[in-house]
Amino acid sequence: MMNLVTFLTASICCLFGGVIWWRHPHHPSNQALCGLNFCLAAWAVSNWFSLQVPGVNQRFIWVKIVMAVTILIPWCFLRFALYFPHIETAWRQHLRRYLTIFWAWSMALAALSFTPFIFRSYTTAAGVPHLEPGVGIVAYGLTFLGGCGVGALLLLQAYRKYRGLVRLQSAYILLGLSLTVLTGFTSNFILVTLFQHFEYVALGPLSALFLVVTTGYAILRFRLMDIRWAVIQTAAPIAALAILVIGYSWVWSELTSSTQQLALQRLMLALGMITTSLLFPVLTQVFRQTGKYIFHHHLFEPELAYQLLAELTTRPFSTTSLSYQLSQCLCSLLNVSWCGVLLYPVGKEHRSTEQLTAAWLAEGKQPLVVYDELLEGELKQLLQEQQIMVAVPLQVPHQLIGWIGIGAKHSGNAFSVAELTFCQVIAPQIAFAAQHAHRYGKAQQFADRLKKEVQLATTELKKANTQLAQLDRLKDEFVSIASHELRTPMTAIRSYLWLCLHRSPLKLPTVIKHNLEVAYTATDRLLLLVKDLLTVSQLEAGKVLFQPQPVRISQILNQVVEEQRCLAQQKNVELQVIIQGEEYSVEGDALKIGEIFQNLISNAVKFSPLGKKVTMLAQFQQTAVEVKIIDQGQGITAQDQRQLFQKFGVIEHSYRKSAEQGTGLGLYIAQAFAKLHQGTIAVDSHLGTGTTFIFRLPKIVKQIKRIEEKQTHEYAFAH
Amino acid sequence: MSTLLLIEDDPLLGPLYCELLGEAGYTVTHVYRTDDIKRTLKKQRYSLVLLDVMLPEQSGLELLEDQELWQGQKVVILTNLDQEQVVRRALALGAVGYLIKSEHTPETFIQAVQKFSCITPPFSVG
Repeated sequence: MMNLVTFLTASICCLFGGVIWWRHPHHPSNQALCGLNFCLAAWAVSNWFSLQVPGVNQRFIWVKIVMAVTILIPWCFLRFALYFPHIETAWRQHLRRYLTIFWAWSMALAALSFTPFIFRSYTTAAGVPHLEPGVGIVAYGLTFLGGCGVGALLLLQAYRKYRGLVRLQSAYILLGLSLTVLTGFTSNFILVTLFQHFEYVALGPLSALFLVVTTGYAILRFRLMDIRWAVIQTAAPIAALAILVIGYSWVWSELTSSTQQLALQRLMLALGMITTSLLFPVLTQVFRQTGKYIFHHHLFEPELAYQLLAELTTRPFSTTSLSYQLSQCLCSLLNVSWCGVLLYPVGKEHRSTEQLTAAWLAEGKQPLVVYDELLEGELKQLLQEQQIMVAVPLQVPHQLIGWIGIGAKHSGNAFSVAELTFCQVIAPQIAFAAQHAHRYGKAQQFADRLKKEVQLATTELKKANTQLAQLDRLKDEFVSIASHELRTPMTAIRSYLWLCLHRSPLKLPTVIKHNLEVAYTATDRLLLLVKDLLTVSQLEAGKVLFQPQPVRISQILNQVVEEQRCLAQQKNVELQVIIQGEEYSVEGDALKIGEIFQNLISNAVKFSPLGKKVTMLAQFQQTAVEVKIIDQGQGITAQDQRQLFQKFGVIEHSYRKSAEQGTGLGLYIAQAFAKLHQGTIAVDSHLGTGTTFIFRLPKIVKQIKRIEEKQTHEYAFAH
Repeated sequence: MSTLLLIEDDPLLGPLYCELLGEAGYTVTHVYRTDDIKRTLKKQRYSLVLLDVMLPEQSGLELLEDQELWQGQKVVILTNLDQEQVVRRALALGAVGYLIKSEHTPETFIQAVQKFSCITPPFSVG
């Protein structure tokens, strides 16, 4: 058994030393640890020989080999402690320089081990071996203890200074070393040299297993397996199974002792199996949860983490808000001291991040930068300066848009595989969320700016509107007053001209009378023009009063005809009114309808040749009343008809060139008034055969209201 | 003999209307200042009042609003403001009719006044 354990220890040490060497052959700490393992293997083998070989002299030689091999252990350990981790302090640098002297001293002691300087003699008395220490044994012991002690102190410093993996590894190595030194040095040195007890010498090399196992675990564990998690996962079902088996056995034994009935026993057996099957998963879960609670309060839960991150990244955040929320979430999920999310574009104040990006690019653009995994270099130094344990580059296709920096864990532990996988997996998701947030922020900014501009424009528009309303009012007042002020003197001129023409006590010479008549006509036209302009102004401002009530068309028509009769008589034009159909009342504004008739009839009279007839034909139809004003004038060309209802429509041929000229606004106004009644005025005329104007008024005028809005007066020509 | 109060401030039209109405047989009192108008109206009742709208101190419509001033006298608006708002307002305030100055020759003006002298209900002569 002892043989097996010894050679197993030696094999493990050799294997482990080889693996460490293979991982980083040029790293001083790996070299030192590899050397340490080979020394331990050599110790185990030489120790075995010192106990097994026959003959005192041979054993004494093997004891000397043991001493020569083991004195190299403190040097290896010290070298390892000085280079793991790589801490640059003044006294560490001094120690590294003295490491060569220590090496020489250790080699000298190894050489002296073969002289009586360490052990003078090896004797056996009644089967009990006895070693006589030489003068150098104290120096040997102090060198061993001193080297290991300084190494332990260096590791302790690393443990206190570092976070993460270094801290964890330092702790494991310290633990292994303590156990190794405690057992190995006690059993193989103190007991042998001071108390001459050789019974425990064989156990000495086994103590190396403590160091090998803890160091190996500390080095290899990272990114291979989370031991605690594995323990919880495997221990829970085992414990559940054990309890069930015990319970089942106890119940079974109780049953078999209490009853002899086979059927009942079988029944109980079946029930027991079913109960066990049902209880097993429940108990496993209970143990698992309990284990989690006891060993790891803040165990990382990937499902929860992925769920939370997914929820977070789908919300519409601004860049700042997303950074804050992500930091909070990651801090809580990974149980770390801090977490920062920095999203581009960054300003000059983030120069260190730019350095980080440059170093990251130089070192091969890893999807995840883990401090503990990095070799010494600029990137590692940058991470150390900023106390970042894990840096996650946020990349969208062909672009780096930011970084997530994760600090050390509160527990000081390293990040587990699940945690690092989580960080790596969520990086693209966060990158896209960040990109969306950036775009969302831009859109938000644009929306805000737009809103402000709209508000500004609205304010300016309101202001302009107020000014316009004021201007409109001023214009109305101006038009009103101007119209009044123009009319008053013109009325005086016309009245006095009339008096000159009609009430002159003297007989006027023909020329003077003619001139006065021209002046009178011109003044008359001018007054009419002012009146029409005022009406057009009101129409276009939408300020014409429209007050419909039931009216009788024939009454209005007759009244207007009577008013025009005087003018007609002057031209010897006959006026005839014909009413067809049964008259009914229509909804309309009597004043406006009166003006329409007045306009149409006066035009007809004006443009009728002497001695002709103007007929007013009112036809009361089922849905509308049509009033036709038919004259026997020279007619209007088709081309002129199109412009007839336009403001100042230029008519080339007939109407406008007549001796009786109008203002050019009368028909436009009449058409507008007809529109107010939802009616129309159409014209039917042929050159040489006269003209018929048709005013059509619907029987029921719907939606009668005051016209508030400004109308566009593009009256379609109606045939 | 019909008595007629002419409230007209225009220096050209006022004397003209006075002359025309005088020739037509009316006894015309011509005023246009607010004080004179009020004093005259208190002193005497007229068979017809011709009231201008655009007056120097107080507009004809403002004067019309004072019901006590007129005491049921027959008022006809005599103006060159033919905006419908003005006309309708005047009629609403109790005027029996209105005359647009620019639409009348001296002859038709006298005819219209004669009509208003005889007719009581509100009626427009345009």
